[in-house]
Amino acid sequence: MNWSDTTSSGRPVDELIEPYLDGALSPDDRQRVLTAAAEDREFARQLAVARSIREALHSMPSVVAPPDLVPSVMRVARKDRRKQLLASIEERFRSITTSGLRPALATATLVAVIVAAGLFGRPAQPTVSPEAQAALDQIKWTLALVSEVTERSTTHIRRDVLEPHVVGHMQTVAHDVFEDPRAGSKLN
Amino acid sequence: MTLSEYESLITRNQNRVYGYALRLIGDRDQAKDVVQDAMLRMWKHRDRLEVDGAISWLLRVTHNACIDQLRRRQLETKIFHGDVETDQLGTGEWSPARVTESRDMMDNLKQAIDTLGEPHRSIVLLREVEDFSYEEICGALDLPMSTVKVYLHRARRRLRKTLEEVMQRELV
Repeated sequence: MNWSDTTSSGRPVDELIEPYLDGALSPDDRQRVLTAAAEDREFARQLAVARSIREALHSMPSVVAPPDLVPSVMRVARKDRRKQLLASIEERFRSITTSGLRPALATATLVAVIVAAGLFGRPAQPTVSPEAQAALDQIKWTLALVSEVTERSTTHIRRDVLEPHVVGHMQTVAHDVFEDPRAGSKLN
Repeated sequence: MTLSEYESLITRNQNRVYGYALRLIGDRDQAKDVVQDAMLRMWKHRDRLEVDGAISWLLRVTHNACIDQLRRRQLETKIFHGDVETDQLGTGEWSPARVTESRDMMDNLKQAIDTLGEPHRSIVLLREVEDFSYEEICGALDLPMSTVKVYLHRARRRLRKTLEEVMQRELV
């Protein structure tokens, strides 16, 4: 058989070398390749060269990315994520306090619970920073006090008075949460 | 895509994506810059990306950035050494004569890959060297599956013919 011959499917046998190495030939075509290799030294050489190329390509030395590639990208991504989350918390707090204090308290409480869950929901984590813990405590006590006062009296606390004690402290808490890579994943 | 999904995806694929960029560009610092930029762009567009298709998107951005880099230094050519140090832009002018003779099969092969034009070279690197799937390659190069397979077939044949000619020269 001349390896420039065609197979029953009309393809030159030469064209079958790559599909043969892919294991993608019908049994008939596969046999034609083997027959051509057995009968024609030139074809056999071509087949051997093709096989060596495949093996060499697959055994090219693998490349390892620089060790700081992903960490540097993740630093930027986490910082961006923290900024977005804080912006949305502040926006929500501001928009709701204009319509009344109770919804604002509910929202701030919810946010504090979420942040606290992110802090305390981490298994076997080291303790949070004293600053973050103090900030979280301040939020909780402020909300509890305001809730109690509002329940017992008709006194309303102005938003500009309340805000620093909730949103301001939230930033300290969230900074601690998001700067710790182990915590950030809990608050996606 | 969540932050943890994003981190998992780029961690899992960093070596292959960086390896592809490095083999195309031939410069470690530039390859790192290209891949970092591509990863951060993916972060910015994460809301529009499904996790399944994200790697193709990342490869596409990386590929386009690498091609832009190569066009910028189109006239600069270097010779491959043992680890991937340098590259030359495949101009599509396939010429086995451009492969200098070397007793080392790997050296010859690297040079032969270099003589392939785009997208044949990218397809060989992505499929044969970095082992990306056909689907990922189709997404990366924005080509139909049938076209990718045809190009790969042609690229393999060209490599074979190039190396045969080099070997013939060595025998003379």
